[in-house]
Amino acid sequence: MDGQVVLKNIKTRRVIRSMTDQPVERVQLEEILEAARWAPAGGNKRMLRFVAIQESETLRLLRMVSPGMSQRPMAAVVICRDLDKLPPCRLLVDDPASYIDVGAAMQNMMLAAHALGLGSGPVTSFSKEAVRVLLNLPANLVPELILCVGYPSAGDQLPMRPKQKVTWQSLTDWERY
Amino acid sequence: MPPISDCWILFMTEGMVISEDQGVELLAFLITSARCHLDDPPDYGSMRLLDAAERLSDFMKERASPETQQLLALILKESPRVQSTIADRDQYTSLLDELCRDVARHLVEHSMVVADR
Repeated sequence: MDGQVVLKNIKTRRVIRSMTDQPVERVQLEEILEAARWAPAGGNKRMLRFVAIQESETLRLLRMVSPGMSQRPMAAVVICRDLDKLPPCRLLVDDPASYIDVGAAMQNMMLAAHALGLGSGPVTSFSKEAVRVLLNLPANLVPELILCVGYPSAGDQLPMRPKQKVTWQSLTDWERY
Repeated sequence: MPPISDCWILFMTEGMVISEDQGVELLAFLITSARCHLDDPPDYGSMRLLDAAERLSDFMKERASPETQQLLALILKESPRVQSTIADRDQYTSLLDELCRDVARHLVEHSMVVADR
């Protein structure tokens, strides 16, 4: 494995909020889902389920109930927590482990999309109840995050926050805070 | 009954500028935004309203009058720029004020009520 290639992929990935209408191939989406499968999972419990969407009408409806979805993606993956998979010792539905799994799966998928020449952008501002209805989700599946996937538009992606200098040093303290 | 895409909403008495499909899309956005706003940061409420204005402008631009198209083009150009400054409260407020003034100027310039005074 070329470690530098992996590190470059991590450092060059960006959240993409503007996408073209170039289709995303099924095989690309499968590769992205494969990356999610290899994400670390708390206790290896596999508490997540994924709903992959390519159909344009479903994407259109999904965008209609997702105020945070500024992009018009050509594909999307909805990451759901499966409440039935929460281990008995962690019956609290707000147990943080499964949320951490959501983030880990998201990051793996974003890096995979970037490696494939695609862009991706996470969305959390959506109506869970509306998405549940649109995607016919059973009660045990809670949609937590939508990852939009598509080819990035040329030009400025209009970041949510002004560009600021952030380094690992500015985020890190050694040994003690 | 015609398919939904063939139905039109009477937006103003002068003409029909958005389709029923587009109206429904905007309604869905507004209703779900109302729910999401309970969990989102407070400033997002303002951004969502701008986003709704953008979406409505995008829907209207094909069928609006040339005068209104000028306003829509302004909103479509300026709204993303305003939203990109959300982290800087002063700049966001300033740009939003500027956009409000532009909208008001358009209203004054194209209002028959004012023109008749």
